[in-house]
Amino acid sequence: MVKKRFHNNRIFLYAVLLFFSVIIILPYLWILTMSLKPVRAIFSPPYLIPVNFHWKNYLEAWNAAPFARFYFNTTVMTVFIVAGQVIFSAMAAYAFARLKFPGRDILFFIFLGTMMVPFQAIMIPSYLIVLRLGWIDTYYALIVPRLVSAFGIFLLRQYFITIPYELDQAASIDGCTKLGILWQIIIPLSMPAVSALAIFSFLFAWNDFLWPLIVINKPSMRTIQLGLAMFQGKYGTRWNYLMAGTVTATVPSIVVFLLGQKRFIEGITLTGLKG
Amino acid sequence: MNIKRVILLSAVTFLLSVYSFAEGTKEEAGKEGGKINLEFWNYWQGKNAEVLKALITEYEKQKPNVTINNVYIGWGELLPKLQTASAGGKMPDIAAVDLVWMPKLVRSKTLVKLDPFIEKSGVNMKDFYPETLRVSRYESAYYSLPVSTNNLELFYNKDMFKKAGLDAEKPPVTWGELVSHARKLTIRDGSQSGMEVFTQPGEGLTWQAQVYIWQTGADFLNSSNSAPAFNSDGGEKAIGFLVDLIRKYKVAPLAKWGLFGQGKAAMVMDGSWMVGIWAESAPFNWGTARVPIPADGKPATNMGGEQIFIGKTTPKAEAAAWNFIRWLTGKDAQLKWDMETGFMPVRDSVAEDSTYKEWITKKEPRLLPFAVNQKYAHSRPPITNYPEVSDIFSKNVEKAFYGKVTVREALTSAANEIAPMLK
Repeated sequence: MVKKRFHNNRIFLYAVLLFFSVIIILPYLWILTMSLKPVRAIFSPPYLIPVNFHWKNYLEAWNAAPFARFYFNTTVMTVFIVAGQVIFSAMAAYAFARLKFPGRDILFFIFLGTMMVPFQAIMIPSYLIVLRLGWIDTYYALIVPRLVSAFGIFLLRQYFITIPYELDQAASIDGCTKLGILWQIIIPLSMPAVSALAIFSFLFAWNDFLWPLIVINKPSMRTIQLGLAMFQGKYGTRWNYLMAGTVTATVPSIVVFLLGQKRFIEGITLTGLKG
Repeated sequence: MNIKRVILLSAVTFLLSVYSFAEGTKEEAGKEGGKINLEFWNYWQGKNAEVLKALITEYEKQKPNVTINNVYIGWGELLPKLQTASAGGKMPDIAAVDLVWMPKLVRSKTLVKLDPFIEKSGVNMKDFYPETLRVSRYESAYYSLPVSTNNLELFYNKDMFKKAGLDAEKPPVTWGELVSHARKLTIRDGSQSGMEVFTQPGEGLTWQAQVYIWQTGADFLNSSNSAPAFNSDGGEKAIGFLVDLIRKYKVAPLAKWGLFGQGKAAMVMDGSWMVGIWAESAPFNWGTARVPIPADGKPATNMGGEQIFIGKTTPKAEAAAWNFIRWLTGKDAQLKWDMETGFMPVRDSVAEDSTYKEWITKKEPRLLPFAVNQKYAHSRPPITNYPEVSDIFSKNVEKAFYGKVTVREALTSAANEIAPMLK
């Protein structure tokens, strides 16, 4: 009896899960199908099941712009933004969670406050600074202004304060420095939060559009997202190329998400529950 | 300990590699000798971009000391990029932009006044269609030149015409014929509508509606752009006609734009650029015709296209940029440009040129209705808040399309909202 009810619950659970996975997967199927259609069939059904396999779209989309260079640029930008956000957030979060200094909490709230300012509001001033520094069309412009993230500091600080303070004390009695405590004790214990931050910043950097758009003029310094926008024009959008390019650009994000899925979900629940 | 080293090492490598990249960039930007490097921003892509590149190569051969760096920027991105560039005082040497952006850009004070150049080079401004120059002027000076234009005419699906028993070579000429054709072409199960009307709010709706307003002899704004003029008998007649297509005859559905291309509508009013796109992508036979006009009305259409201007840089670069834009908007380059891209002529001398006339009749006769009507093309009012005005107009007209208000109510309410914005 009990066993049967358990069984029914399971079926119900899987039915619900299946329903939502179908909803989530539909747009991806649509993109995939569109990306494989010849241009004349773009607006004719079927929309969700690929029946044409016009692989040439992928080759043509790839050749329509220097995409190899765009991938390289996005990769460089993403790697350094992820590294920077993890390292700097960890150091700042450690200070906010562990060190005692006057004005600490006020400073932390000021940092939090910056999360409320929309990017559009600081876009022009940031651009002017980058322009004065002579960084237009360089990796500096793509990376440096985004090395620090208030969200990352917040995320890690909330996790760090849950780690027992006794561990720090024991380590410092054994002669460990503050930096040593951070790298050898706090960070290894905070891997769920650190990986969540890494994935968040990866997705942010990989998909970012507005900032690269403003600071990059030269075609050779463009990122993938800027490259994809090139398929949308005033005089018509090249849907099949745009979709083929989107599929290729989405694959790395999906791979990273699948690899870090567990941590990613932990990261989201962390920010919501603990504090 | 290990992690620390790896991080440190990668940080150093990162700084070094970025530094070397940045250095490379600086060297590239440096000028070599007396050579002038001009940066040209535009959003032309596909065939248009190919033709432009060929023209640039031709120009560079004539002027070996000038290099034109053609930078493609997407249509949705070019205006914000120009606005940030002008805020930073770092304008490109040359840019070709959507003509509706000109009123905004010209007020940024980062565009070069062209009058001294025009006088010195003796350019005959009368050869340009006067309407194409409306957005070029600001405070009685020229800040840009028309470089390409296009307009809206009727497209019709010949296969559907034949199936409905209509003569595929005789598209409708008047509003009355448009209605009777559309009724025969509409299949009541919803699979095929006779006519496609732009029903979603936004500039798409406004710039289509303006054609019908101008056809009645009415105007969108008054001649000094200081008050709305669409709330007139003509305006009411024009919008009333569209509402009738949707609500009375039920030949145009309230649906997302794009039905004609998907083979779900038999007729549509769309731009000349679609000739090239549908020639390549439409899986059916189609033709074009001049937009049908009311029985007592006059031909009219709406003008799109690009204006080319010079950004404020250095006197030397500005002079070089002028030489290029004068050449590109000149008759010889324009002839090639129009015949290769399918853009409509901005100059009378191109439209009347025998090579051009022969090309259009033989090579792409489906562009003929557009070429014939180009001289009846109106320019949208060159006011800075045109996007907002257009938005308010379209939202009110949409309500009439949905039958929530009468046509008169919609136009009066739009006029009341817009009037204070024009003061």
